[in-house]
Formats: sequence, structure tokens, C-alpha cells
Amino acid sequence: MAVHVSAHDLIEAPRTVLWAVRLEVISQPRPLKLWLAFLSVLCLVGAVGALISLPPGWEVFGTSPSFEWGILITAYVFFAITTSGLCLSSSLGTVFGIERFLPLEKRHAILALLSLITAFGIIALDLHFPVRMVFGAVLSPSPFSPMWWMGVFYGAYLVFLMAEVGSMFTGHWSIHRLSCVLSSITAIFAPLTLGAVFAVLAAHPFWHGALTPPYMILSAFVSGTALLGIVFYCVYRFRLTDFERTPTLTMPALRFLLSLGLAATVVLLAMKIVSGLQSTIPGLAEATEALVAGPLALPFWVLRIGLGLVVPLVLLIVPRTRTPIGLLAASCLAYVGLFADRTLFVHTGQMVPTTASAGVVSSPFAEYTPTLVELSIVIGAFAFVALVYTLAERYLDMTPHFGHRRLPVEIEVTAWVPAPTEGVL
Amino acid sequence: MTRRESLRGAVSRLKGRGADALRAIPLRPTRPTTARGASRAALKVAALVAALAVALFVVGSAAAAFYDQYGFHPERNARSWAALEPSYADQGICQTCHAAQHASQAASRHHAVSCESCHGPLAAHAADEASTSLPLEEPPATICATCHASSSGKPVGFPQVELATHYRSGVCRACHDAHSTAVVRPPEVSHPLGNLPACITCHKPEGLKALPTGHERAADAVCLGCHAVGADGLHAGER
Amino acid sequence: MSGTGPSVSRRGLLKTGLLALPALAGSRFLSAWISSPDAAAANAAEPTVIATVYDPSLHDWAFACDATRCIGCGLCVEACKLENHVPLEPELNRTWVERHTVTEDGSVLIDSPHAGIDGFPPESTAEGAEGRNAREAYFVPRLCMQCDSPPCVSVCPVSATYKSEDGVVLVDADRCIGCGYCVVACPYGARYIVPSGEATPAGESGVADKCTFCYHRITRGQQPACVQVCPVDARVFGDRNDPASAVNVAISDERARVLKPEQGTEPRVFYLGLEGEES
Repeated sequence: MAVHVSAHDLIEAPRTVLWAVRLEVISQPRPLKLWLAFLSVLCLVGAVGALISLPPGWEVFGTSPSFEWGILITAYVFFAITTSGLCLSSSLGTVFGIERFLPLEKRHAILALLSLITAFGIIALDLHFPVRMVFGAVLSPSPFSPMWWMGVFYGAYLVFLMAEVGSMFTGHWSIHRLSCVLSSITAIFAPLTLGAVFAVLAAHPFWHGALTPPYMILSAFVSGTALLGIVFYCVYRFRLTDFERTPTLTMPALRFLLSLGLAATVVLLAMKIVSGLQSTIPGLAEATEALVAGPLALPFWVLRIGLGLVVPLVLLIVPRTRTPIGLLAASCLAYVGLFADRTLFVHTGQMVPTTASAGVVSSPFAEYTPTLVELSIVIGAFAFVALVYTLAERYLDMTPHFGHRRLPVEIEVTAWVPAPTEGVL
Repeated sequence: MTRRESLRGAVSRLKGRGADALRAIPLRPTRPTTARGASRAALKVAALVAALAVALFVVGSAAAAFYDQYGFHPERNARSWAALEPSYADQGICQTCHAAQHASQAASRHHAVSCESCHGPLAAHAADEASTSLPLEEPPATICATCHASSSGKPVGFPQVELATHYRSGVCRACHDAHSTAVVRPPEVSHPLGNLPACITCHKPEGLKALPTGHERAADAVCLGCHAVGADGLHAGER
Repeated sequence: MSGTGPSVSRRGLLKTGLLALPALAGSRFLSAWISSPDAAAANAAEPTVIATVYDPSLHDWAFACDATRCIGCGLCVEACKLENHVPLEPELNRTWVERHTVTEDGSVLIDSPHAGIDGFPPESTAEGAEGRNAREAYFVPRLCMQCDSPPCVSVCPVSATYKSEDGVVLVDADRCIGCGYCVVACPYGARYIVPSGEATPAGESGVADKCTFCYHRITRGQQPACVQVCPVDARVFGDRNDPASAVNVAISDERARVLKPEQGTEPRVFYLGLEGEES
């Protein structure tokens, strides 16, 4: 009996499931095994951290009344906006039917679903009573609360994503089309509400204002596109499903989207910094100054601006570096820069206190250091997404459905694509 | 033409394939024609109605009970906050038993200070007859410094003392009565203090001037802490 | 008579439907009697004395703090902790006292060692206060402002925090999820999350907690604990509906102002003696 798992045939007739798994693991190429083992170890570290922090163990977090939102909230925001960004970038293909972007189709949906599940997992660890949130949001809704709307939109988003991924693999293409449209619409509103969660807080002038929700959508777009850049480089490098069109079609498309997003980020960030420095709102000038010239200046200028904006833009625009490696480098740096940006955003907003918090006067800055448990949870979250996506890439059929039918089979290969080597995956 | 036939005709005029399917459904149910059939039909209808009513009742009350427990009832939560037990007693209840202290305080400069400011929460003490027979614990000696130690920020007219130079700090009660705020100042030393032997040389039980009760045998610095006369004729350490 | 088809007519179904409406309504009333055991126990626990005697709609509670009278003794902070089972850690307080030291150039330096519970040292411990001459200094009692337009109430995703009819903002500890949004939203820093190992008076840890104006005391006609123990009447509490109340006298003082009026929160706690400060 031959067992066919999507694009992959198992070697022998397996006697039991465990036997099949063992055979499969043996048959994996060595680099893949090492990669999966490395990710599994990081996932385990994250799982240990998560177990330690389960109720009533939340004292292991480094938060305090003057600094209630720490790196877990940052990671949640990051994964949530990555989810939205993935759908935003790929909606150009799936919703608007622009052919250049069609190859993003299946991969973005799986990544988006993984990212959102991870985001929900992180927030469930940070909330002290996550189950109450589900019941409370339904039984005693609070339409004035941006966090309630965020829960509604991301909950709906989860449903749409599950429909999208499910229909993708069971072949219900009409449901898939509909869920793609719904996901893309939600992908615009969900980061808006996430930005509104921060933007309505007049108590934290750095977050307050109408600029934060659009900035959040833009960050989503950049983060999603950067992640797709990393993924498609791997598709190209390891010659995964549908890699032939990657250098000529997908990569230029991603390059275009990423440079657009980064350029818009430069504009919005400059607006935020300049208006913040000149502001007379109590606390805003001090907060912005702390970011650009104070304790956070080094991570801001080096990580966020230098490595996160300037270098990727240069790599994407200069013709010499418009190579797959260049896209990988730009995407990785933009992704890291965006995580740094989320961390700096959440940190700066709370760092300059405008009042004593529960009797503690923090002057001049409120202190927060992420604990080992929080860091391990965040690392575990990234490793989880990478691990499950690697397995999905290997064992699921990633051939685009719509894109495959519309485009010609023969594609011209340009000069800088290296000669085919033995397949790694 | 019977009604059935005319209805069929109307149906057949409908476009689409649904007309054929519709034709398969009988448009009028079969009516019972016998008395027994009629009563059976009536029983069936009654049973169905009763079953529906019971089902709706059960579902409705379950849903309502669920909302009752888990729904949003702020006034109920406010009542549960109001139902907590106070630890501090009702103001004015102390004087029902401690009339003497209250009377001496009411006429003093401490008249606005409540009993529990110094004596701590006393609701349990006031409510429990067993505990009221026991003497009330005195507040620690440092309680006076809590208000009266001088520090920047206190209103200018408020009586503050620099404790380091004010007599012997920590034994405020030796001179000050907390309830009546009467001050019994230590008597001035009637003789100059320079070039003298130790105080205890003369002030001993068998000596020239006995030590009053309550004065432990201590070093000169302790004696001079209360009995020395300052350069301007006032007591040392007094503002 | 054909044997096919149901013996219930469409008319019969319509009649059943109409009958169902009163059945549903009746069940709603009946369920108020036959509520679940937990709800019944919870209802039985609340004393009917409070429910029948105290009518929240008749009262409009307000508070006034006089910075010209406060001596920074910290008795209020201690009394609040003892009355309300506030965690004894110095970082978690429902009320606290700050010392505002105004330097010669007009900047205000704030210090609050251990929330003021042990009183204050003679000189300011604020950052940058050393060596600078102070023009003036005064103590400012701080607590929840019980805002009329509370940012904490509007941001709670599960409506766990609410404003009672008599003007007090309270937290339903059974509903709170501990997300900390209200803690971050409060411009006055009045809230905190109860750490594990401690418990609110409602018996929960991990939920938000804050000053309740000693709701259990004011509904019995008493004063909040901090007001009762204040030796110099720096804290004044009362009912704005009572024209002769001390709090109305304090609020009608021309010096009376609120903190951070630009936030639009409409606080119920008024301050006297802070004219020199901007916000």
C-alpha cells in the first residue's frame, strides 16, 4: 500500500503511523532535520516558559502598574499585524486578480493562519483570564472599547482564515474566493482597531492621535510583505513547489510592495517624530526625545532606522542588489526592524509617565525589563510559526490553484538564476 | 374546476423546474372525515403544542438563567461591593465607652483627630463585647512623629518639631498628653550647667536631690536632653 | 383520504407559534425564581439591609483634597490598606500622598517614598531635587478621581468596570480578565492589577482594583477610611446632593480645580492649593 501525502510519497508501506513517521524522519535530508530539531528545541523552551506563566503564575512577567504592557503585548501586536499584512499583500492577487501576485496565494494563507493562532496563544498567556474574555465579549459587549472591536475583528478574521485555508485544500474554490475577499477586508479593519487600542489613550500622548491606526496598517503591510520575501527566497533556494516563477514574477512583485511600504513608513515615521518633538502636549515631547535622543536612541537609530529602513530600501532600489539574496537580506532586516519598531512603540508610550502609578513615582522614566519567561515565550512563538510552516511547506501541496491555470507553462529564466543543483527539500 | 385544479394550474404557470417538484407536494392535507379520526388528530395537535411549549419553556428559562448569572448586572455587583464589612468603626462610637478620653480630646488641639488615626481600625473592637473588656493597646511611641516630625512640605502653621534636637525623641508621652494635648514641661535646671560633675553625683536616691520615679539612671546626655536651658532662656530644642 | 402528508395543518403550526410567545415570556419570569444554584447563593449572600436602605440614585458622591492642610503623615494610606485589604507592597496603592516641591525656576518635583505610608523624610527625594532650592513645597493626596467621563470604563473590553448611579467607578472582579487596559488608560495612575497571592475584597487575584471611595462605608452613612483618619481634615468627602455638605463648601471655593482637566475626564475629586501647577 503506497501512501501519498500531497506532493510527497512515503518510501515504504508503513505498518503503523509511528513507523511511517519514523521512516519519514529518516528520509528527510540532513539540513532539514537539523533545522526542525533546532526549531523544536526553541518551541520546547517557549512551552516551558508558557507553562511557568500559567495562572496563577503571572508574577513571572516583568510588568508593573507603571508599565503594564510588556514584550508579550509587543509580540501579540507583531503577530497580529503580520497576519493582516500577509492578507493585504496577497489580496492584490487573490482579490484583485493581478497576475503578478497570484503565486502568493496558498502560502500567505497558511502563514497568516499560523501567525494569528500564535498571536492568540500569546495573548491568552498574557491575559489573566482568557476564557472570561470570550464569554465576556459576547455577554457584556463594550462597543466603546477598541479592544472589544479588536477581539471581534480578529475573531472573525480567524474564522475567515480557517475557511480560506480549509477550502484551499478541499477544493471548494468558490468558498475560497469568498473567504479571501472577507479576509482581505478584515485585514484592513483589524489592524485599524489594533491601532485604535493605542490611539484612544490620551493618558499616553506618544500613542494618542489619529496617526497610530494608519501607521499600524502600514506596519502590517510591511511586515507581511517582508515575511513573504523570506518565505519566497526559501522557495527559490530550496526549489520548493512552484519555484520556477519565483525569480521572475514573485520576487519583483514583493520587491515592489516592500519598497513601497518602507518608503511610506519613512514618511509616516518622520511625521510622527517631527510633530512629537515640537509638541506642547504634556509628556509627548519628552517621550519623543527619549526615543530619538534618550535611552532608546541606540536601538531606534541603529535597529529601526538604519537596519530596518535605510539598508532594506537601498538593497531593494539599487539595481546591483536586486537579487534573491538581496530580497532576503532586505526582508530579514525589514522584519527585524519592524519588531524593533513595535517594541520601541510600546515601550516609549509607557516610558515617560505623566502621573504616579498606584503610588509609585517613576522619574524620569518608568522601568521595564522583559523577564526570561517572557523572552522564552516570544522565541517559542517565532519557532512555532517557523516549525509548522516548514512542515506545511514540505507536506502540503502549495501549487497555486488560480495562478497555475492562468499563466503559460514555459517561463524564460534570466541570467542570474544559478544553475539547478540537487534538490535539498 | 376544483380549487385543487385551479391551484395546480397556477403552479404550472410558474417558470423553472420548481413547478414539478411543487406538484409532488399535496397542497391540502388530508382532513379526517370520521369522528374518531378527528379526535385523534386533535390529540396529536394538542400533544405537539404541549411539547413545543415545554421545550420553549425549558430553553427560555435556561437561557434566562444563564444570562442572569453571566450577563451584565452592574447594580448587583455594586451591592456586593456595598456588602463588605468595614474595619474602621463608625466615627463617634468610641465615646459611648471612652467618654473621659473623648471629653478631654474634644476641648484640645487634637479635637479633629479621630480615635482610629492613632489607635488603628477598631470596628471589631467596638462590635465585640469580649474585646471591649480588655484595655486598648497603646499606639507605638513613634506615632507622634508620624505627624509632628518636621519636613519640607508641611504647612507653616502646623506644629512641627525637629526631633533630633527636641528633648529625648521617642518618649513624647513623658511630657505630652495625646488626648488633652496638655504639655507638662520638665522643670528648668535651676543651676548653671558648666563645669559640673556628672548629674548622678548629686541626683541619686541617697544624694542631694533624688531622682523622681520614672527616671532611669542614665548618662548625663539623657538628663540634659530635657532639663537643659537654652541660650535664649527657652528649653533646648523647642521652636 | 390519502395517507401521505402530515396530519397537522399549516394553520395549526401558526397557532402553535403564537402560543409559544407567552410561553417564552412566562418562562423568563419563572426563571427569576428558578435561577441556577450559584446565582441563588450569591443573591442570598447580599444583605437585604443594604439593598433596601441605600438608594444609589439619591446620592452624588464627591471628594475634595486640600493641599494647604495636608501634612504628609500617611495615615490615610495605611488606613486604606487596612480597610480594603490592599496589598501591603509599597508599589500597589489605592491612595497615596505626593510631595510637590516647586523649585525656583517653577518646575515641580514630585516624590512619594513608599506612597507616603511612613510619612516623608525632611527633604525631597525626587530625582534632581538635591541641591536645588525650593520655593515652596506641599503635600497632595492622590486617589481615583471617579471621573464622570472615565477612560477606564470606556476601554474595558468586557464591561467589567462601570460607573454606579451614585458616581463611583467600580470593578466587577468576576468579569475582569486582567488585560490591564484600564490600568494603562487611567491618566491618574489610580489602578493596578492585584498580584497572585493577594486578593481583592471580592476574593480574586489577577483582576484590576482601585479606590472605591470605600463604597461599603459610604453606603452605611460612614466616611471613607482615609477621610476618617485624616487628622487635619485635608480630605473632605460628601454628597453633592446635600447643599450643606462639607464637600460642597470645598468645591465652591474659588481655588478648587481638578487635575488634568485637558484630558476631558471630568473628575469628582477637587483640589485646593494647587493653583501654581499647570495640570
